[in-house]
Amino acid sequence: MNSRSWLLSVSLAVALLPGFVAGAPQGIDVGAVSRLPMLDNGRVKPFDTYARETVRFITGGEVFQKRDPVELLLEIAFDFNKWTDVPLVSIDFLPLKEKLGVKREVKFLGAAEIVNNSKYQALMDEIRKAGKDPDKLPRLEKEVVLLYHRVSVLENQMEGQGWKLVPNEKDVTGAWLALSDASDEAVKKAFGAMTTAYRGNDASGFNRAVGELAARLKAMTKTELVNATTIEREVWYHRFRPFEKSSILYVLAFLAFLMSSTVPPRRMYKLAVFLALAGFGIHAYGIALRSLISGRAPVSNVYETMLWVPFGINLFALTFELVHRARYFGLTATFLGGAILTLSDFVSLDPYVSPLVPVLRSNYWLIIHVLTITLGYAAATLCLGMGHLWLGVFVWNKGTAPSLKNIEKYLYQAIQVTVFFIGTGTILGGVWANQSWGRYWGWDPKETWALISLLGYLAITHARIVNAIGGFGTAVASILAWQNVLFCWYGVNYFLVGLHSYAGGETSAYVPWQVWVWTVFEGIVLFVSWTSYKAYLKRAQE
Amino acid sequence: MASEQTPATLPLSKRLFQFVCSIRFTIFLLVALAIILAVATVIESREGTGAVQMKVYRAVWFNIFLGGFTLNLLGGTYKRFRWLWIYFGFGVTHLGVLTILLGAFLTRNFGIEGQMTIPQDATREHFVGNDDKLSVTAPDGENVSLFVPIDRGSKQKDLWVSAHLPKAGLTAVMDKYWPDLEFEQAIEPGGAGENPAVEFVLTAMGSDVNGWLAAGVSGKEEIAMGPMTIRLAEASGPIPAELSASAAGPNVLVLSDLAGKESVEITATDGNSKEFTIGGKKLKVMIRQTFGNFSMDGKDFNDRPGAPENPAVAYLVEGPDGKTPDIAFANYPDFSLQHGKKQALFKARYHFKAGAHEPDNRLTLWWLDKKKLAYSVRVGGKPAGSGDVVEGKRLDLMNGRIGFTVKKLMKGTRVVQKAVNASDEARNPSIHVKLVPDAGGEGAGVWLPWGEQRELSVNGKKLTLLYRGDRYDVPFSLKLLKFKEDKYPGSMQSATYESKVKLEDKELGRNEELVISMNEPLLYRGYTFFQSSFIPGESYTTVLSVSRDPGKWPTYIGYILMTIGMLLMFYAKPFLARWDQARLKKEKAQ
Repeated sequence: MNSRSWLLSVSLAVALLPGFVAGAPQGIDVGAVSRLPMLDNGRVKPFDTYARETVRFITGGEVFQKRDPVELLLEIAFDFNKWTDVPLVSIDFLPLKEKLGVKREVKFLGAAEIVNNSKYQALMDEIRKAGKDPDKLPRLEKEVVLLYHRVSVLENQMEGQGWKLVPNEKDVTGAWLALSDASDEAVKKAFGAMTTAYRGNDASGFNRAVGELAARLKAMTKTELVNATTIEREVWYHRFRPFEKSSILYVLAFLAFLMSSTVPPRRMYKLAVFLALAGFGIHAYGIALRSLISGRAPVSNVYETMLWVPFGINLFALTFELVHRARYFGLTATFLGGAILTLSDFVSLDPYVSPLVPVLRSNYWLIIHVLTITLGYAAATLCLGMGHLWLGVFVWNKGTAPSLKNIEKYLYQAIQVTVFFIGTGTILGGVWANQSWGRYWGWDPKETWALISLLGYLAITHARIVNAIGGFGTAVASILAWQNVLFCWYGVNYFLVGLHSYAGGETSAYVPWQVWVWTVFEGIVLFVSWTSYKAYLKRAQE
Repeated sequence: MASEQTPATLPLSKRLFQFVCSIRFTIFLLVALAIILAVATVIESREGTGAVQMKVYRAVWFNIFLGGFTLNLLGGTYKRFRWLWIYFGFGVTHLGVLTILLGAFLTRNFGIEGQMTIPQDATREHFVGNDDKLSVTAPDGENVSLFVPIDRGSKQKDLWVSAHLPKAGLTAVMDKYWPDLEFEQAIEPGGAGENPAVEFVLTAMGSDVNGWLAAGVSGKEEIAMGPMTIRLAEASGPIPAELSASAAGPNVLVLSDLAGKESVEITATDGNSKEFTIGGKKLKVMIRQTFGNFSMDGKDFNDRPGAPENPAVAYLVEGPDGKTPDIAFANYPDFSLQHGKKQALFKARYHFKAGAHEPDNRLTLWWLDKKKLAYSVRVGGKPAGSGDVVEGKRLDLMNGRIGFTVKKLMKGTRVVQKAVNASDEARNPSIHVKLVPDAGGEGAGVWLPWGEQRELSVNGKKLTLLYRGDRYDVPFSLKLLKFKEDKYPGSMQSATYESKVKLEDKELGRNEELVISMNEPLLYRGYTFFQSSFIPGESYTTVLSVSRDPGKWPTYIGYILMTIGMLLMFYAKPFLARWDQARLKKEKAQ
């Protein structure tokens, strides 16, 4: 190994270290608390997941002040009065800050501070009086209600009032009880001991009490609802963070692919392929874990597709890479893989597993349809990346690089994969729709946009047959055609209403700023390429 | 493949044929179709499914466009296809697309879609088509049926769809769609000095709110706006004294043990708490909130403004078993939120005194001796001035925080019913229909809620109007035996639902019980029944969507052809080319 790859390996090793973030009261067995099963929001999950969801909901991120979410909840529960003053409730909507008289740069407010804010009280009063459907409120009011909910959820942590850890012994499918509402003497005793020990800074007493509590709760649980392996797996999934790790590996692989074009290629290229495959392996492992936890194919909401699409990209690209040994596939796919996985962490999507609405449940055709169409999105995204690569090489070399022909050939192969998967994916959507609604085609916005995406790529393949477009045209067209895919994938769920809306989340009228950044970026790319292409044509004429 | 040339020397018909078959035309059609569909989805999200069906998907021009597409496909495939293996994938793919188009054509023209709603234990032998129609029938049987180009659930919208009934000499015009038609009380000046009314404007926090009050009209005598309750009342003589908030004494919550021996009383004011012992248990009670007019909105408790019709108090009892929240109702002493959940330790009784719920801030307008309008104000429970009301002159209340102006005083009014659209939700989707006589003169209009029939008289003829989907009879019957809904554990979210039905077919002599669930439809005699949704209630009503689709099999065959074709075209070319070469060699050898 040369020095560069050594450096890569070290940073890789550091990045892969899993584990609990250390902090707060010494010697407390946070892991044991994390593993307590809890029925919340329609499914049994480890307390760990509940803590992550709760902390993310209140503070906007899973980790607050470098504290492990479970630790933070324990602290809030047993030392509530202190936490009503700590600024921890996220506020990020500027107009709301202005309305409440909060400084722009403030990101968190204390619960007491919010509740005592007279302008907040006035706003809440108005909303309560108007009594409108919460989903139909204007943005500002929605944000006020969100703030209200954040505070209520925080208040719900006081002495574990919201922790529905106690199984319902009378009704197997009934709601579980919070610890504070439990009537079981052993539970009450153990929880009381936990509280006392925590407050008295007695770590071993606390751990003992947690052990007793866990044992008693386990004895009360009906086995059909709780699967200890799944609980363990879910805790591990959230602690291990497979997608973060594979995105790091992808980025490193990308850098290695990039360097393999200048550095004596063989070794660096091998390292790049190794890193890419390692990243892909962890990526696949993460998806498998998630499927095992949720018990379904991992493509039931936009967040999950953001994990699946980069998987598809790398699946196609690494297959092609191993066949052609061409570097371009790996280069493009590892970049896209790293970028999309990183992005999935930053967009405001719910990263947790949640129950499905009835039509999306246990339908064989649905799973095949969604897996196929999202592989189509993946292939399309690969085309997008290779289109950019072609244009980049073109502009960099002023139109005369020998590799352009090759990249064009590979790009076209990716386009064929796209046509096949979006085509069959749309068809399978028809089969599913016919199974579920008795109609294989209903001009629903999502299916119409899948068709629009397909038409875009069909236009490219047909245009190439009559030589209406060459390398430049194909590259530009695959960038333009991908914008349809983006709209189909992401935009429809948010801007157009239809049957598929439950696959997305709520429709909202405001365009996220990322979309504008993307539009400007693509505008610049196309403008620069066009200028370069015109200059190239002029030189070619002379 | 060969590039396409259209030499000017060819006759026009040939050149036209070449153009129709050309790939350039294909590219144009593909891009144009993509643009049309993109625009259509935007129309759909703005105007609803009905509108886009009418404007695009069912419009003649769009079908002509698809016809052009089909011609291009047919011509292009025919012209380019060769009897060689390498053309096989190309041929199969395009044949697949053509078959799908054929299937779509059959579905569009011969398929039926609708809904069958079956209440518990009811039997149905028909279903209602999904396309809403307005049917207008004259007394002599003359009838027109109009497609209503808006789906129920759209927002309020103006329409203009009309049809002529020549024999009746009338034109029926559908001009408005409202999702939530309601009739609301409104006032018109008139009447013999009854129901005096005022129109006013209230200014609070920089914005104006308009309103009206009428004395003697139920629900319109008093209104709560912001911090102020405003009332209009008739009186004779001088301005009567306001009721005082403290006059009636406090409201109390009384908790007593089940035997009624021990009891404790606590004043019902928000936040008040008291410790006590009942049945040997030490307890603490805390008053969370008092309500004059309790209502529940989902999970939230609300205090509706207006007269105290349902006084209640929400309280919390803290004891050795933890905290138990509950509510006591003054008018319904036996009702408890904890009923059946926890064993009762005590009985709660809420004693409410009407006067105590007088609003603290109140403006009363007095119509004195049917002659003069005066006012009195109470702020914070204390009198805060009175005087005469001058129309158009602003009264400043609560240190100027609120301005109140009487815009118009009406000494006598009539109460009329006015149609309004109450919300954007399809609670009572209705269309407005006008019948306009050809000869001119007064027509008549009527609001027609979905599924209902109305009669309207114009020119002495009584016409029947009906707004709903077409009715389709099926040659068998379905009876709902049982509807089952499963929820996700511990939540109110539906996981799945299914209907157990009895199918009876006298013609074919079948009589059996079947289950229709989310993903397992019932297929019978060309009809498919899907579990679509349900209407909750005391007993469930199941909603099945029904379809009869002769285009299904062509479409599926097309799907299969297209998939196989693409695979052959993209990934089997090298093998197919070898077969061709082998064949050519063989032919040469012969």
